[in-house]
Amino acid sequence: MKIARQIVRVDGRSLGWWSLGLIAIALMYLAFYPSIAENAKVYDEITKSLPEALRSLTAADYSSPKGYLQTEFFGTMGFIILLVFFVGRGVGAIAGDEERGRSELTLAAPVSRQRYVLERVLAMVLEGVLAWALLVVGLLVLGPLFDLVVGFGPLAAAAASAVTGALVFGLIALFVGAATGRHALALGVGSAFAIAGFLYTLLSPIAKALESLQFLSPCRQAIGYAPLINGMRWDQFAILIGECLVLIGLSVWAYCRRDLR
Amino acid sequence: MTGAPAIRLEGLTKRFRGGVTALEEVDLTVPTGSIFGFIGPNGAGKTTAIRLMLDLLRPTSGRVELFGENPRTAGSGLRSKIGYLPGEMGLDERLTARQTLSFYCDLHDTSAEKAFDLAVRFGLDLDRRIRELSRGNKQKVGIIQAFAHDPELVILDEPTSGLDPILQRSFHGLLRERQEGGLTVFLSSHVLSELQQVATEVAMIRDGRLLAVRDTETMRREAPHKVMVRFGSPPPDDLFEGLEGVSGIEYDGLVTRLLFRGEMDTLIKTLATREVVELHSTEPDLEETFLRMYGEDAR
Repeated sequence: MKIARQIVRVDGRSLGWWSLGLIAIALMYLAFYPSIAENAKVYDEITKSLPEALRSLTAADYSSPKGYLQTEFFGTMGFIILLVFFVGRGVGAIAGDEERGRSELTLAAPVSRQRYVLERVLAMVLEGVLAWALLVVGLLVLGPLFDLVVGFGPLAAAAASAVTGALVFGLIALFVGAATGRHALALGVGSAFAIAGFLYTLLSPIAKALESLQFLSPCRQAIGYAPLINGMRWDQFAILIGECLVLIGLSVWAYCRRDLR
Repeated sequence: MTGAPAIRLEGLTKRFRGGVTALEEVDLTVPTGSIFGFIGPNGAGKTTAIRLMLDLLRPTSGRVELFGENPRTAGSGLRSKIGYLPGEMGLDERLTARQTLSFYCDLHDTSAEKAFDLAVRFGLDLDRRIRELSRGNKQKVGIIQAFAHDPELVILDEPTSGLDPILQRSFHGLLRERQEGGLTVFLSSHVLSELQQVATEVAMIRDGRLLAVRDTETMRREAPHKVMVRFGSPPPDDLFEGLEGVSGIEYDGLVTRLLFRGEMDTLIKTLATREVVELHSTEPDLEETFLRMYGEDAR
């Protein structure tokens, strides 16, 4: 645990600021809520009047606080922020540090490659979970000031599934880094998957051809069923956890067998 | 495993993807308790060999053994006996020297007190951030972390690069001190004169091949000294006739220059038959000797 502890400790301050920024963004959305709630009926009518395809594209549900928060934050901006966060961490964890020559001394110490990968993953997960736990607390405390009251359960479900879904993409980046040690490649592949996954979830409801593959997308499994509104779907969550475990296993395997750069 | 040498390389070959051969069939034994120098021009394969020893790279063929164990499979028991200083060291720029050393000591399950003591010895300010340190000071951090957990073997890749001569000397002092305590030192350099001050044995590598391994003392004895003598009056042409080990005599009026290999005493006694105004004998340049003796024909 020494490596993970060190990483979280060193990142601590910047992570704290980052969490505050996250809460500030969420606050911005909260600030709009009262005016949207007043006009909820109008929005609803507009949405309903849209053609089927467009309606699913906006997927807007402003009729309740949960719907608003899921649509405007957990399903879009918040999730994108998480994707950026985890892909960045995934790239930096192995490939980034390797290219800067930072992993060599650690690996020359009594630290196995396997342990190194696992601790890097652990640090990344801890940081994501910590930041989003702060966000959930922030929303619980500040939400009522803007007439936006959502219970802990739904918020936790939304946060947990979003974090796990975005983590999948971070682990894709980490895996590419573990397999190649190339920072740019890990970043490219990780971001490509993240963008493709997100757009896919956004667009697949309007393209019938894509629909049949929906179940494959981690984004779909994470935000597609609107956990804030519908509660946690444990089957979807289990699939996400499974995907993470497979990627972690692959990363360890790839990292243990290659030359460091 | 007692009795096993600190380092043994057998037929060690490393080819990188793209077909570059960095090491070719290298056999090398570093006895426990020695200070072993590894010399070669940049790009000769020194760093590759060192990274293979630490299992950062995997051999294409051949074997690496440290204290009789394969570093790939030996696990943390072997790792904790080894101190390592990389040639290109990446430290977290955000940390202070103290935090950095504490972290590496922690990985080695050892108290950082010894590291802090060494920092005092080398005059390293522990509370500066790595980003604010000069190259020499960063190198001190690297050296200290390599020694702080009392390893049995230290593997140092160009340890004195960036250190000024005074620090080099105190670093060499540390090596000798620790060697008396049983430490084995393996250090690489592209400057032989530096190795000859500390190393008991030197191996030379070039283009991935090991050219020779020599005892530094023998080499020094075998290598020719450059001698310059200024006589009080012009010496006779046959002064050095019959004297063994003399070569390359150049007469220049009162000044005579020559290369001498052998017992200095016989040369001095010969010179003493004349009036000598000035006498210089330059330490043999091992690098030159090494290259001349083993370098060219090995190609």
